[in-house]
Amino acid sequence: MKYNSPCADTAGSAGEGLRKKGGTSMRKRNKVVSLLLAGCMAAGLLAGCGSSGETQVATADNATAASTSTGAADSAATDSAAPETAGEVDGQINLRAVAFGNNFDVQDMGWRWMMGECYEGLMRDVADENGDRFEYAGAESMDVSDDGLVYTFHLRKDAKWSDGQPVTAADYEYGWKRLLNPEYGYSYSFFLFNVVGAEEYYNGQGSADEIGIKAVDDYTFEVTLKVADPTFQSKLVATPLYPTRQDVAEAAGDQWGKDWTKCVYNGPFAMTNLVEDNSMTWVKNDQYWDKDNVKLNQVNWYCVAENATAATMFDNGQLDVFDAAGDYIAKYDKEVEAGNMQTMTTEYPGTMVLCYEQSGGGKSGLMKNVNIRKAISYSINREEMVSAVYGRYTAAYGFVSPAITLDGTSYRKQASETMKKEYEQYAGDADKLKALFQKGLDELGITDKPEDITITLLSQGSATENQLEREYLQQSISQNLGVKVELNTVGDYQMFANERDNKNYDIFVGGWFSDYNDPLDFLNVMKTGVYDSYGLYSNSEYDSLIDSLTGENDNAKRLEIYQKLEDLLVAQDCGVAPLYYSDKHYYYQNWVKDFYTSSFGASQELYRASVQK
Amino acid sequence: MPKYLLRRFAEMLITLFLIATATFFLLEAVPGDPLTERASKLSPTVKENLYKRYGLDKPMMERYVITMKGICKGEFGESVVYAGQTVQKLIHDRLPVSARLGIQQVLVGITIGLLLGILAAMRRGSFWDYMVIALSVLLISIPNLIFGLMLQKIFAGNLKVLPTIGWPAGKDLWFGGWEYTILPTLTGCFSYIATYARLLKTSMLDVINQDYVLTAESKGLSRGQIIRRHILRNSFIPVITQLPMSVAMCITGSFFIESIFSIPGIGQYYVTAVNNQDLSIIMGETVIIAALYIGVLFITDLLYVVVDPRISLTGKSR
Repeated sequence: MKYNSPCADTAGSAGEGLRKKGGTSMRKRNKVVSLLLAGCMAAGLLAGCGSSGETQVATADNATAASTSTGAADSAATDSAAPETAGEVDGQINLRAVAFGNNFDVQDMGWRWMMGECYEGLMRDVADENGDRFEYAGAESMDVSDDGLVYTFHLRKDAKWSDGQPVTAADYEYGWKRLLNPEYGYSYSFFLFNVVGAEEYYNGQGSADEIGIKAVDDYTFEVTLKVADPTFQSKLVATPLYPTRQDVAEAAGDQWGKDWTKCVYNGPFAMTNLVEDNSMTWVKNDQYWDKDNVKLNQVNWYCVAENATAATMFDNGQLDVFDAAGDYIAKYDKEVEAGNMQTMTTEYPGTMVLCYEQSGGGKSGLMKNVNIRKAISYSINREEMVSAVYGRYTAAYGFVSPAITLDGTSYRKQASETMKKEYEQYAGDADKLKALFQKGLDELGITDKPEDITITLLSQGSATENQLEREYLQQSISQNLGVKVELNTVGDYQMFANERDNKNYDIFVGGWFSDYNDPLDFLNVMKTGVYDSYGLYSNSEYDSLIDSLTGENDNAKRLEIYQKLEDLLVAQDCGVAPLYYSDKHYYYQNWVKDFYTSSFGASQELYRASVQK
Repeated sequence: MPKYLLRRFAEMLITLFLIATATFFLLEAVPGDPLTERASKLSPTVKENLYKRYGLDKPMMERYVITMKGICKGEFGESVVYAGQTVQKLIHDRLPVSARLGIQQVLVGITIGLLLGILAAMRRGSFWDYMVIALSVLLISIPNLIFGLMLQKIFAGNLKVLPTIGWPAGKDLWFGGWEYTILPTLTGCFSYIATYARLLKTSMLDVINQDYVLTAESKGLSRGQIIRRHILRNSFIPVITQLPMSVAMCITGSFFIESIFSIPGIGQYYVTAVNNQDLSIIMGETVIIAALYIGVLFITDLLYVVVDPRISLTGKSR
């Protein structure tokens, strides 16, 4: 998942325009108007809208009612269509989302925080403070052939869809082949390209029948790979590899995945109500095979865009979980200390890095030089940055996140951050940093003094955090290197992407959030031609090392290659400068038990959670 | 008169056509398209399929013709970003919600604003006058995002007397669930109060100094009669001129309020669409807002005639 810059807060400026209510073109005509007119006009408009408005909002008829526990009469929730949402139900949890999408097609991965809970694939990924664990879910066991090519999944026979139909191997076969169908253009089709015949079919050269994806019988699902690939297994928790019911998808036709009322669910919960931009209700799926262990009866989601609003609701107990950021972290940390709430921080597989324009050297023309890049990188004090700017996260000196595991152990425990050694020689020593920068200038044959050099930092986002971030980088670099750092701050992501693609920058902060649990998903990003949005690092040695992983089935050898790759990218070439490793940081009420997250599945795992008030 | 109406109607259509055309080409001028990001990972054949599905593979002029034909039929096409979302659906599901919010804001805001304006003008130079001026400066300079969050914190957070978020739906869509509408309405009506209080006050002060008011006074009319029959009626022209703007904007202009109070209205979606370069939705909403605005403007012009016999729309003097 690409993440180039904070996408928050871009709405502000456009909203300002819309909010403008005052008109200036005042026609000075001396006419007589009675006071009644204002009322008449408004009433006329009311009537006009009324006629177009009646019989509407069919989907919302069981009340938008973000029913609160404040005791306000809940008159809006009276004509409920879904009985389970009316009245008090034991075991309800109230959660907040910043925005709702509108995508129920598992193959699309668009809305995985919902899909992970209402649907289920072969395996499930659950995370707490001790890291991620991968459990069997739709599958009971898995056999891998000795050559690592054939995967046979034995599905559980008690798994059912919310309409009572069994979940069969045919549902997996249909879902997986759907993912590869070139007509649909799913972004994650490449997850299956290593399956026999898959990429050919995707490129329109083969048929679906030739793909090595097969329902052997109702409960045996077999997949044949082209070359052995240990990373294949780690993709099984991702929603694009979840099953899809052919009859239901085909009945919905064009509306598949767009209209939740046409969906069936095989996960612990099932959606029963959705009002866009407002609220959503899931109830426990009573057809779920493990329903006896699902303790929550209902999950209420509220779409709350503002952190301040969410904080008010959380303080009141109207929200049970709060994903705090910025100033709220300090506030709620005090509450945790006082025993008023609980907190959980989990590693999340994302790393934010400083990207350099390496194809042409950027606006300054300097970024092709490795010593220049290193001097910039080493002038940033990561530890100080994470505490002063974000108040969370972990300083990064490597590209692969600690959340990524290899053979069940965090990759970071097996591969040291090789950049750190050199960084420590320079850190905080402005003279040494200036000398390193000068060395780069000499190598480039540039005679300008550092104070005459301008480095352009491209950024976007108007949240406090975004502002602090660019100011911190600006000051660190200019103070340590004696150069000018100019901020090119743009209004929204489209403009950002445009400036980036036009190479109108020297540096920017970008990030990568991994799609599956393997260091390869990080390292492959920097291979030449894979992405053009990370500053266009390119090194043929790096590319051939990535290629050498194809078919390599021995994890010890893979680890060795991964270490070499990361050392080359971060320590030797400084192709990107790691800044910090991301995390997930939740606060939750004392009555919430067994709340988990997930790095590669849903953003929250509620299948074991309970509320004990 | 029928001839005039016909001419105005034709003018409205031409205006709408020009607005739609301008919007289309402005959107075309923005670099990139809504699929760029999504298509970056796809293979050429699949990319082609994707562009074909949304009709983005065709040359610009052809798309322009298709878009304009669609608008004539009232079809704007599917959202490129949110699968399944159409302008029709947005209007069906979201416009009533925004309309109620907007109407409540306008009714409450303009009523209070006009009363305060009268108070300030009639008690010119008094404590009340200064209070109204100070209040309107304060109300107009504080963004309604801040007001919203403040009201939320006080009435829902501390006092716990009103719901934090939510909006009535179903049978309560128009008349019901009032407690959910109080805070959003208050938040939104502040700027109307400020605008109309200042507007009416200024306008009334203008009128007070006119000769006919002096005449009325010397005729011995009571103060109340002078205010009602001479000052107020004559001061209302600028207010009427301002109204269409307020009415048209109130329906789509509550982006922040809808966002803070989780109100599933149309304003929120418009801004999202602009950020996402969601062509069909932007086109659709722009045309609809423009139509609304032009329509209200037309009604205003008719009202001028209704209330002031001296005004002739057809240009002939009576």
